[in-house]
Amino acid sequence: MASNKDFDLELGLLLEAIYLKYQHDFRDYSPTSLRRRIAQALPVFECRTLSQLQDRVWHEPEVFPKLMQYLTVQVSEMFRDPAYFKALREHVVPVLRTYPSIKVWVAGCSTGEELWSLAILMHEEGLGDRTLFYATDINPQALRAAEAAIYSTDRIGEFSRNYLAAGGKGSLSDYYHAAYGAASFARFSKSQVVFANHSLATDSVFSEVHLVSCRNVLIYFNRSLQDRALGLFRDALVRRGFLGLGSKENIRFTAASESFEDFAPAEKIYRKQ
Amino acid sequence: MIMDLALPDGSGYELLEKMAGDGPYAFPPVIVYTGRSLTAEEEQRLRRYSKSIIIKGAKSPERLLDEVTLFLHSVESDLPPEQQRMLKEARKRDSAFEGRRILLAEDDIRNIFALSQVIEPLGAQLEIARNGREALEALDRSNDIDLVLMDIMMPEMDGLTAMREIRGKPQFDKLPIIALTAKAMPADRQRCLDAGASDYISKPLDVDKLLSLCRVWLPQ
Repeated sequence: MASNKDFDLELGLLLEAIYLKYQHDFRDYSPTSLRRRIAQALPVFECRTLSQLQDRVWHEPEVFPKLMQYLTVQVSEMFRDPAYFKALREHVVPVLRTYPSIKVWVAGCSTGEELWSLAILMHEEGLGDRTLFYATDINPQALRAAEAAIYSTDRIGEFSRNYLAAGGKGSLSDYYHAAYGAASFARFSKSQVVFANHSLATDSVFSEVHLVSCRNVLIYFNRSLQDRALGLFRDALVRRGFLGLGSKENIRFTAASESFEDFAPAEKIYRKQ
Repeated sequence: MIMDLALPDGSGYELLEKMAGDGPYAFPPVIVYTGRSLTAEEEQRLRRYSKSIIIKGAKSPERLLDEVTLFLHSVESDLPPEQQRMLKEARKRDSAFEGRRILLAEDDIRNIFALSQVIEPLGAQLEIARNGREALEALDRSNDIDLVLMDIMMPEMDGLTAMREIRGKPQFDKLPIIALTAKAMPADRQRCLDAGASDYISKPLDVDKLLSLCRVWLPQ
């Protein structure tokens, strides 16, 4: 194995190549997680070095979409960190209720677990009909999975426990249909969701929203990309709109910290000033 | 002005429309404070006149106070005279826009509000569609649309699909369409052009730039 410094230089070249050729910008992702993910990917692509991988990415068009899965896909759960959803339900929803129509941006929605959790929550609060969700991600395969809304039944037990701990009003089974080892949430309020390929690294604000939920995405970014993403959230949010982050994320020490105040700090919910 | 929609001697809509008609008085900022929920159509109608609509409920007094505070603050830090002059200048009627009909397909309320404020005083009439399907319907309904401003990310039918549908109809061959896109990469722009856009502009919208684009593309 080459030294860390060499590895990082090679990594930089690979990311530059990906950006130039495919216009996906991973250059400002946090090196720690990138190193780990790329190291996992190397044997899968039968490459010994990053330069070999770069050669394949550059010359074999089918390689990059596969590598993308290693660079981006996070496994999430429905109602992950139930306290977050409970706080949304109890403290954020009463404010959202004062808007005639509500827009929610799930940024970095991956395979949709969080999106459908929020859709169920808004439905149970009687706001399903006047809420529009924007579910965005850079990974087309993940977006398709989010839209399909089908999850393996062996994950449903955990989803259900989370749902109840998050203050769910019924049973999670009210929302899915299970057969052949899979549970489908597909019939649930899909017309209320806009799925779109959107990059926090290169794209800009597309609409005004009342709540941004972006959890466990910023941890993969370096400081300057975190600043960019938080700036987009700030610009997209209405004044006094809400931002929810992942349990290990924080806006303190970022450029956007001045624009937000703590709302439910333990649950990482912030409010635009 | 803070108003309810149900007034003892008429509806709030009528009042707002009357106020918006030509008169000697400036139109004040309006906050609609109402006890009932609104349909999407009602909300859209109100958005032309009011930036803030508040549905009454447990948290509504707090939000009302918030919005009023914001307004009072914005009066204090009013625009410098130079900018006010420019704004007035920009509001003069403009021969490129006079009598034109522009279809805005966009679901971002801020842009709808901002563009209505800028484009209508120039003499053009703005039609609003909130998604691609409504845009197609609007075009089918009225055959005198001069220009389309087409957002890309919209519910029900996105802008790329809508543009392809429009270009599929021979009568809209020459109709100028400007795509409004939040995506910045050359490939994204190419996708807009491939779908049938005549031109594109990046979000967040630079209003001056958009007006210049409209002047270029509005048929003379």
